[in-house]
Amino acid sequence: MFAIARLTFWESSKKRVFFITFLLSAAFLSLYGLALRMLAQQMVTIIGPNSAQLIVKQILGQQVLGAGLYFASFLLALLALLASVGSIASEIENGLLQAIVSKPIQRREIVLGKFLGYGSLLVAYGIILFAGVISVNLIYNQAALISLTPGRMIFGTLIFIMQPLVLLSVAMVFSTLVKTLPAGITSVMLFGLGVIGGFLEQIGSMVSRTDLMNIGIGISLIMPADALFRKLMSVIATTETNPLASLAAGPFGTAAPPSNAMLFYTLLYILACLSFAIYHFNKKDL
Amino acid sequence: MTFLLAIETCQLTKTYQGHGGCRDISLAVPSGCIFGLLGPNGAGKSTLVKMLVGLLSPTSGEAKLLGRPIEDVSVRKKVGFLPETFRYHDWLSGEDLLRFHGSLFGMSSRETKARIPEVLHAVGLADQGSKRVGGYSKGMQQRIGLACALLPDPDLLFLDEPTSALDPIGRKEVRDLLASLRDRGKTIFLNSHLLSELETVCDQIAIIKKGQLLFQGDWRELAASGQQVKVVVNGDAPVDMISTPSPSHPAIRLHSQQVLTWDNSGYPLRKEWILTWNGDADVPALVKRMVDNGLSVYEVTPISNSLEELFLQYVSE
Repeated sequence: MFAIARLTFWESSKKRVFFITFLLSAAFLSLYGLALRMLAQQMVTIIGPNSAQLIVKQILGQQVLGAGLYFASFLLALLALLASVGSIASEIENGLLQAIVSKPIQRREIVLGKFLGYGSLLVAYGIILFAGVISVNLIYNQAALISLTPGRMIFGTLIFIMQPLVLLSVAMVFSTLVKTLPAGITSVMLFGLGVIGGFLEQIGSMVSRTDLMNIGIGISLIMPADALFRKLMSVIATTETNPLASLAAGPFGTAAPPSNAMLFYTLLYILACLSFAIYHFNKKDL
Repeated sequence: MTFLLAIETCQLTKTYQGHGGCRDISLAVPSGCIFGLLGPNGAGKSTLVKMLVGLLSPTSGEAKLLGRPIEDVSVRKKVGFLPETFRYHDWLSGEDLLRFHGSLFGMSSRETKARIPEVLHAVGLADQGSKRVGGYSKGMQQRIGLACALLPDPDLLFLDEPTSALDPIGRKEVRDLLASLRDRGKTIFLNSHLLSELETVCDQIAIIKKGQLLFQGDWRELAASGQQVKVVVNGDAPVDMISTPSPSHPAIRLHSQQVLTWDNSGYPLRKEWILTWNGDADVPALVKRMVDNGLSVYEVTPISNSLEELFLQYVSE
């Protein structure tokens, strides 16, 4: 399993999609930092009582932080899906797996090895990206992170890196089920569905429509990536005592944060996806 | 540990929604031989090989490799496999690829390190190991695939069209390599369309057609069991006189005849007969019989069936 994991890590780090995503991330962090710096300079010029200035800072700050983390999550999701969706399907199609499956290893070792290889790359990249976004905010947008403690920072990091792992596990399932192209399309559509579900849930919460919230929650159960982002925002950006939370919600905020049970569900979701991928790959004729 | 049979299958069947694949294949491949699998396109050869190396799950039946069921993956530590569609991680160097395959075989890095120069030398890539596989020619890629299969010094080697991308010199080198492996007691299961190649190296063969096993065994014995002799004679004695059963020629049959020369009045002079009989050929007694019957004998040539003829005979039945 570790031989497969090592090779997968090595191979995926050499892939063009990783290089492009890395460049995009660098560009994103630079532009994001520049935007935050300009915003910080603009904030100083706001005239009014201190409390009003603070409210404006916090509302804008929350939204900018949310936008930064959302785009970082999107980049990570893009990498998770594009790099891994063909991991098994494409190797079945081009015959690469024939020389591997015929070796004295269990097929589950191939699935788990690939998950471990891609997963460790995504986790490493995710930690760097998350640290980058938070660092830029700590420099120029401290008001949005007034409730951030070291514990919350670690918790937030864990939630952030869970997002690509969810998408990776889904991609592994489709990669064992169908060919590369349909696997890619289906995984991306499922990710999109999760995003829509997340928005529906937030809108439902804002307008107090339980049915809309339930639809959103239902969709989050099918694809929990967006729910993880909402949870992340609730951990990083707000506390229960912060009255600005609902005001600052915006499109990237969290009006109704998912509970910790959602995190537990997500872990089970990843395990279930991997189990299904192993089960199906075990039965697959190559 | 040595086994009498390197491969043993019992009614091994693989069908796809009830169609295709192969059915009820019961094979017995002795250890230490080169065994050739023959069959027309779509006969089920690759299906059989893929089942044996764990790429396909059998629909029914059983199979053993080196005395252990094919479901036991640990047996593959001593089984090498070169797929027909040889495709490897082309961004790795030849040596890195072998290191990776060594770890898949469960070999220690020390073992792998020691084996890499040996297998690279065996397949003729001794000075190419540090180059990227993607930069290899097709023939070299097939050679590196063979090196991967040879890495654990396997007792059983499955080769699916192992010389399809090689030039004649490369084919000869692979044939020599296979012969040397057999001499070391290794079993080689060869799936190839190149009958002339199988004829040169194989001790035993199996012929399958439409998923069914038609023949397995020593093809040379099969070829020798139906002896043929081409004779060119001049004279009036009819072929019946020669072919009448006698103790030395139990059942001679005229397979074919043609007139080679005629006299001025159109009377046939020199004739060519192809005679066949079952059992051991007693060619000197046949010649004596022809001479005793007043025939002038110009040519006597024993003919052995080639593997190609046997194959065509089986698959066209």
